[in-house]
Amino acid sequence: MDGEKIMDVQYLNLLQDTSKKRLLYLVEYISPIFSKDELPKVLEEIEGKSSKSKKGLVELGKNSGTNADLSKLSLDQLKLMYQVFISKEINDKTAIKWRLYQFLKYSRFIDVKKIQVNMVGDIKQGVDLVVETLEKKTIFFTCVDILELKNYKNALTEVIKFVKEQKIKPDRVIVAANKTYRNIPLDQPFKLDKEEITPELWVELIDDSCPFNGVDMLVVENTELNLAGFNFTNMEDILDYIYQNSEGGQVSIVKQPGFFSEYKSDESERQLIWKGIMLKKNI
Amino acid sequence: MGFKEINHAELKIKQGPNFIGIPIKHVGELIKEGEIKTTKVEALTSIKQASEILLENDEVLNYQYLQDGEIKSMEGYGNISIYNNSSKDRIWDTQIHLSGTQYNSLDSETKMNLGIFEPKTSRNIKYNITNLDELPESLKFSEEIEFLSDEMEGFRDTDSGGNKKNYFLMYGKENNLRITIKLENVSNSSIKNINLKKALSKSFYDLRIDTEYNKNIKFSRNTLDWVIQSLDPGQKAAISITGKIKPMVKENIRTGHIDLTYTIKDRAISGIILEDFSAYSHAMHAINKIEIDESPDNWRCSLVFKNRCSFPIKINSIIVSDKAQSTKYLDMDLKDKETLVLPGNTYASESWEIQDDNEPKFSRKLEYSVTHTFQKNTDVVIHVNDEVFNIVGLQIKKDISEKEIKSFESSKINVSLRVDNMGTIPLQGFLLKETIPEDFLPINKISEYKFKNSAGEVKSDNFELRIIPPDEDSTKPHVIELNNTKKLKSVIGSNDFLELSYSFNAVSPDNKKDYRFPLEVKSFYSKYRDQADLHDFKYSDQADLKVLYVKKDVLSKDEEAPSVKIAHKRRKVSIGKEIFPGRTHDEFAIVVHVKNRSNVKLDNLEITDTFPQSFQLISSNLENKVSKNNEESTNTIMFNVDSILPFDEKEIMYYLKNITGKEIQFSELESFFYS
Repeated sequence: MDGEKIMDVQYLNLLQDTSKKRLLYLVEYISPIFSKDELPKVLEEIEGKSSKSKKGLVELGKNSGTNADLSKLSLDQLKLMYQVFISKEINDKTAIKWRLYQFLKYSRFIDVKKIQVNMVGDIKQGVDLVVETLEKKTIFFTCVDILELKNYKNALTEVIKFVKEQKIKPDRVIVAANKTYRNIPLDQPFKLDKEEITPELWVELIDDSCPFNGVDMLVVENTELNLAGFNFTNMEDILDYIYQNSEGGQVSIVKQPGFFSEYKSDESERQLIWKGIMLKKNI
Repeated sequence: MGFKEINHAELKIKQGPNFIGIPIKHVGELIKEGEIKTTKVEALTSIKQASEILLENDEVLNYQYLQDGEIKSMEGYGNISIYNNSSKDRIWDTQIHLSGTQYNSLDSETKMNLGIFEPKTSRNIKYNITNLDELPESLKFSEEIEFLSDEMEGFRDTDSGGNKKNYFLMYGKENNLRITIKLENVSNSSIKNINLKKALSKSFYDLRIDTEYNKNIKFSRNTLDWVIQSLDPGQKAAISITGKIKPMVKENIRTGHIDLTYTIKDRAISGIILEDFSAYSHAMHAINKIEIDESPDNWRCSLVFKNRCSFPIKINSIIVSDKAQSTKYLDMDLKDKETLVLPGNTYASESWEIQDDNEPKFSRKLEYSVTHTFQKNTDVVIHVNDEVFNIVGLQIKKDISEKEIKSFESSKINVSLRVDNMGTIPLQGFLLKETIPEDFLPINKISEYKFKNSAGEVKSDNFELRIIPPDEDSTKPHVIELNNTKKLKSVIGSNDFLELSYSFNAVSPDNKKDYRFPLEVKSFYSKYRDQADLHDFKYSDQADLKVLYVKKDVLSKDEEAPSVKIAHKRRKVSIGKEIFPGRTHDEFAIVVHVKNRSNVKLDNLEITDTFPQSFQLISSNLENKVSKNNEESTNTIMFNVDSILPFDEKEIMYYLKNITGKEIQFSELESFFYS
């Protein structure tokens, strides 16, 4: 559906208030928070400005303790941040790449040790992220907006090219997409440097039965976590985030419906959407 | 920003907004060589004449259309499955000959040797269908959206002439719509299991469905699910959905996508033809040679063919000749004849006689094949994208700065008008019409009209002004007509406004008349996308309704269309003077009565009186100023009264004394001036 709104979050052009104050307020709720070294790289790419700074693989996230100062962003930058991370109306390769980067910072699918971002400037193809895991495995991520057979094959060709240029061999190759056609031959391996690898597909999954909307505030009780619903698309997603960013133990998640909406919602009372225990230590 | 791994099986069957295309049905799934389901086996072996070799040709076509019927993407693939349903017999030397493959990825004439099929095994031939745009249309469908409201001119015209239409809804008003979906079988085959699903926005209400296919319609959560068991060639079906919607917020409401699936029975739409299929199984053929009793060295011979397998076998040709193949004893072409040898049965040919001292020897060649059943179907899956309803609406505020003007006096009246675009698309054009009644005159100069939007001033040469009639006769009413020229691509953007400031003149307003200044604003929207390609049109009353929608807003209620109050205020004042004798014979008290007889407050009254220079001012109750007029030998005394309220009175008293000692003339004290 072109022009869709994801989980009730309005597109930028439909917002009543697009002032800097309002947009900054919303952008400050993007989770995980961008660190000082991450934000300039994100902006460089989503603004599409070719930079004189270093191209190629750049390790990010080393200064995770120092948060970036979002108040210095211009109105145009805030608008782009809104469209990429909040309303998700921009779904090009760069947008998918940075949303995937954000996801990898807390996802429990992979035990991330190091993330290197391929700063490619104007080039719109190729490997986007190189991740090293705690198990010393290397994973290549390549991002597309809509995965179809043609660009799937191109993506694999680019991986082969990247391996030759960078002389890094991946243990896994993952294609990340916003949407996908159904005729992708995922069961067929491809040859990479005399070995066969079966690519994997990750999709930016929206769960229709998710108990919260993008405009809801999600409060994790007994913690300092007040999270905006637009950061997550399914329950597993938010639970992974809470697991990584809290002490664990007994966890209750309460939603405040329509907290970020410009329109008054009929539901105004807080509602419990999840209750359980997170065990953070091995038993 | 949750990502999730999707495996190959999930990619085919998982549902959700991230997956493009309908989940693939089981019939299209690839079956590698291996065990097949036994249910199929039991069904086939129960039929006497049915072969236990089944060929199934299933084709799947996936189409994605835009809402206006333009194709966005298409893909097609086919699969021919060959099943050996026998529980005990293998077949070998399996040959398949396909033709008519110009639409697909197989060679134009494909002959394949598939080798051996063990009992209960199957194999598949997969192919892509290319040149999809050349395939014949099978089920024609169309969706028309009609607007039943009369809020916009040009709304009812549904004939788009092939152009892509814009869809509109009125902001803050109840919109009535009718969506009609029509289906027609334009193929030569029967179309089965037609299932159409249409999703409507949850904002719709009072939905009603009209169709002759009432029994097979489900409607829940604003999703229509329509099933038609079959449509014969040439047969049509239609369904209408009427509903209402009242957009109260600026949001993109969608027309609702359509998912349509159907099966074309007994037809592979790509045009692929099974020219021939053959395979061998267990059979025995022999030549019986019997020496004739009455004629030694004369032999009566015949060929026997015994079917030793579980498949019916068709004999295609029999040739029996001598060793040198110079003499043919049997030469039978049985391809066009139904020479079926059922399992366990024996076929015996006609006999021939031959003379030979020794047992005759023959050379024989038989062509036979197990029979087969061939089924074909085409499944078509269509997804039609939806479109967005644009929301249109204006909020108009008018203000007249002069709430009250004086009767029968000329004055200037300043008007400010603000038009806010409450819709989701820009206003392409507008036409403002304000009626200026008699006793007033509009200004016929476009430079006197100021325009402003969120970006700042908009130059007045972007607008056209007409005053009707274009004269200066204030005894009759006039109409101000203002519209934008084509220089402005969109006169008011979405989330934007246009402010107009202008004035007109009150010439001689009569307080006994009630003056109104009704305002009408027409807004224009393109009917079609890519309007630039269409012919010229005007943003005026002569608007071309073939290419434009016109929405009219009228300010007529008192609170919306302010009027001007005519104040009838007249000044009436009287000034009286009294002279009283004073305490002594040479003293006099002068009292001046100033009375305001009007309903208007009088300000800054200056009252001047004169008295002879033979008198001296002793005192007064108001501040004054005395000056000498030597030429007339008089003194002038001036009093200033700040203000006198309506119907109020003020007294000015002052005392004079004769300083000459001579007799005085009372008349010298009488004259005064009022200014």
